[in-house]
Amino acid sequence: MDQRLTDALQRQPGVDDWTVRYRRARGMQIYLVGGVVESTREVARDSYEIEVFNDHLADGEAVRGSATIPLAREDLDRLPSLLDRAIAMATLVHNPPWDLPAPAACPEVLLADDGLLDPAGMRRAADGVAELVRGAVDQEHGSGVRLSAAELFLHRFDDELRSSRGIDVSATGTHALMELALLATGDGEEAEYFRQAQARRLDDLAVEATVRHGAQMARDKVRAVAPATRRGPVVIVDQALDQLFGESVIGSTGALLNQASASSAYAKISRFELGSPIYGGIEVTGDRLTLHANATRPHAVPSYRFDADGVPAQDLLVIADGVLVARPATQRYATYLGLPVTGRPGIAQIAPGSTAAADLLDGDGPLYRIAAFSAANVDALSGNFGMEVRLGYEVGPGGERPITGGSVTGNLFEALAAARMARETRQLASYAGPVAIRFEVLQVSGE
Amino acid sequence: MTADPSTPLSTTDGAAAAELRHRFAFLRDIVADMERQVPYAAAMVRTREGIRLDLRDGEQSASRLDPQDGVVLTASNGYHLAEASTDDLAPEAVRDMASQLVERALGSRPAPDEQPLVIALDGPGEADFATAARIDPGTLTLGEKLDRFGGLRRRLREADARSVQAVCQYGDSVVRQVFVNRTGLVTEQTRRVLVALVLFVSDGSRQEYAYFQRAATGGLEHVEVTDEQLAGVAEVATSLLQAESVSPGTYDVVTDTVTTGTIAHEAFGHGMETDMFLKERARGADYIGRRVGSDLVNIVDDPTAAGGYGSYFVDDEGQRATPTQIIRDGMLQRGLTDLYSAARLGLERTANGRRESVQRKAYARMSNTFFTPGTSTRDELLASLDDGIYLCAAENGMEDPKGWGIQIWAHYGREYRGGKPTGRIFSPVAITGYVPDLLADVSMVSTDFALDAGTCGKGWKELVPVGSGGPHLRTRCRLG
Repeated sequence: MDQRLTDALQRQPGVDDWTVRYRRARGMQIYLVGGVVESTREVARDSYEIEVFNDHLADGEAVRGSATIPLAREDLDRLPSLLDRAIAMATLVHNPPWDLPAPAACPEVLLADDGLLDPAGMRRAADGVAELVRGAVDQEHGSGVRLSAAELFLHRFDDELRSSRGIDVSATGTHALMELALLATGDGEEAEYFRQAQARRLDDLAVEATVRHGAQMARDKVRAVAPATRRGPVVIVDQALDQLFGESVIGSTGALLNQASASSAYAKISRFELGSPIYGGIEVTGDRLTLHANATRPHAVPSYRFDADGVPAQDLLVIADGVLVARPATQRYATYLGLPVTGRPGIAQIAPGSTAAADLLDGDGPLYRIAAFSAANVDALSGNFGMEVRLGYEVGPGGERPITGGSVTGNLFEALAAARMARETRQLASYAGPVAIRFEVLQVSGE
Repeated sequence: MTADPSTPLSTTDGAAAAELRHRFAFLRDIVADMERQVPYAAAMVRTREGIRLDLRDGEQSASRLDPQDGVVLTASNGYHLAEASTDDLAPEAVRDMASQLVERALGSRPAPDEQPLVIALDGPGEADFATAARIDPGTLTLGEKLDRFGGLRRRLREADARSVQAVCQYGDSVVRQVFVNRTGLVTEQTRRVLVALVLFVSDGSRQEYAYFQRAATGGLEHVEVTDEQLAGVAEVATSLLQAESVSPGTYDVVTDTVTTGTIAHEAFGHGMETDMFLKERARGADYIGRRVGSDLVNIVDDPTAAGGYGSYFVDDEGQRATPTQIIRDGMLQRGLTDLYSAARLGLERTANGRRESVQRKAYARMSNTFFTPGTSTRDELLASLDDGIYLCAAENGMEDPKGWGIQIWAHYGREYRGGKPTGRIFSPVAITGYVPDLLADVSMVSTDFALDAGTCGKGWKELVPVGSGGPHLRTRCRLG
């Protein structure tokens, strides 16, 4: 971290508190089109972000103002004028006061792949993955599957955070993102498998297994038909779990953690209440939900050592047996609501159930098993969702047949009242938990 | 906004352009030096200035936008592209990076049967461009902006007694860009403004929201919000407290301009990005010159659209902006290109090579994508609905260029019977279907026209500002 910055902040009049965040990022990217290299890229960026706080009076009330100022490299040469501007901004913003956190021990959280820490290793890894993808797709040629395109992004991040309260912490992490598009041909039809997978370790991308699984899904999609319209059981598996529980349109933490959060409660847009069930008044007939916001989970993408305020990572039990027991609360909203400070939530981690995943497919009538939606689309305020089926399966006494198109709609919070969790677990980019969750009643709209 | 190079720059913009030319003149030498060793080289610099405000009950925030300053160098070894980017804009640092990049590009061997990559340049030559702004956001102090948009938020908050929260987000930015290749150096200053309002209401047992957004390239004149518009937001939010779920099925529908734009974007926007042709991921590649919709369907991508949020003057690969007709009278015309896919496919370039930042690759991307207006009035479309739904406020969608499936999420729909609203409202509404069916069923197109603003990803990343819109459409689709 550039010492000029912290020195300037300490000298600057009007700064009552400050936080500086520094990130050094180095990355490598490789793009394949049909197995041929389209381009390779090397990227480097050193970025600073300062947050300055100014305590003042507004309408006779003691208030705290803040301003967040990301800096370009050349801004370091004109700090006095930038800090003047930052303080001017902070004096115009009026918020109820809150304190920055005091220094505390941060846990050692596994965030990095040792093989991606040095540029040479990263370069070798990128070339290696390209070869793995090509080789794995070659294995599938006989079944009519070919590579459309693949992208690989590898990054190393070195983060530092200092604050006026004496916090001085650092962390190193890595990130790998693979985008894979496969094409399958059969009976004059063509279909695509598309997947964007993220992990902190290259091995967790499971490149060869992902290609094999993707090839099977692409082949299945060639012969997939539209689902029938019906209300009934739907089992969510694979990537669809990440789309339902992890990602969301409004909040990156997913609808459950968004509604549980102290920031939503402070904004008066949380429908959850501490000590109450989260099911919207629906009687529970399935497995009661237990959910952690786990920022310490090893090698999970959302994990961290410390959050943007310097609060140490926690594994927080948020929902126990269907009841909200704690709100994920950053320093500011914890202060506002008088709650314990937990820091930014980590990965949404759902406790497993007691049923074997295979048994979740049992039953008298047919059900749908959904492997991938076209996109995540869960309203973080209401829990309503409606997502097109990219690929799923109709499961019945006669076996399975692939389906595509149509949509699955419902309300996540209410649907969880009649959900059963598999006992086997897996970790995806923003979800950790049962490999399959069976919802007894969801609306499928198809033919 | 216009990409007419004869439009004179304001004194301020002219001075900024001169400063950019002076400061980054060294890139001409770097590109020339690189091209002594490789067949193609280019450089692009991007810097950004701007602020973002977030105002709501009990809290406010003010932030500077991430400047994202940096330079990206591109080199081709005659077969593929190699790029390097850094946030260090010092000439000596960029020169060092250029040397390493050329070495890397030349050290990379083509695959045995790989065809040469032939890049034909069409400009951009020498030019300076800037977005005109009648009310430059830079002329207002932060205090004046807080007063103005804080007041707007309060007016929305007070629009209905059932409101529990109102949020106003405001942002303005100037992106300054320099592009250099062997044909010349171009500077570009693009101004964007955005106001987004969200009203949350509750009846004690149920909570709903409605939102309103104004965003454009240009100045604050584009983000004026009237009391009537605020009342409209409150009316939608409170109506949604009685919203029902729509019965799954196929319906006659009329789409509002936002939903129309989302259809254009998802149906024949993404699917006409020619990098998707190259990857064989777009069925549209096989349908050029063929019918894909009714005679009433006309879709255009236009980076020069006045005020369009996705407007620009030169794309991020040096191609000067011009409109592209994607569908004319229901017949598919052509795709939107980036440099690499155009070269590989032997297509004439369109100005659609865009990057999220210098840290990311350029892809074929949309700018402002819209249906062009028709001949009926909006009221005539709605009056034609014997038993149908008026779909409003599409929030997002997802493309499927290979399968031509479509998924769009509309915030709500109003039931119409006998050409009149029944008062029933449905929320949310998932629109799914097969794109050619949906476009073949377009039977009426209105004369009105509006462009909405949004952020578009390629898959789930590579976010760039875009516009989408058009008139009202009458068609038929599956709802759930």
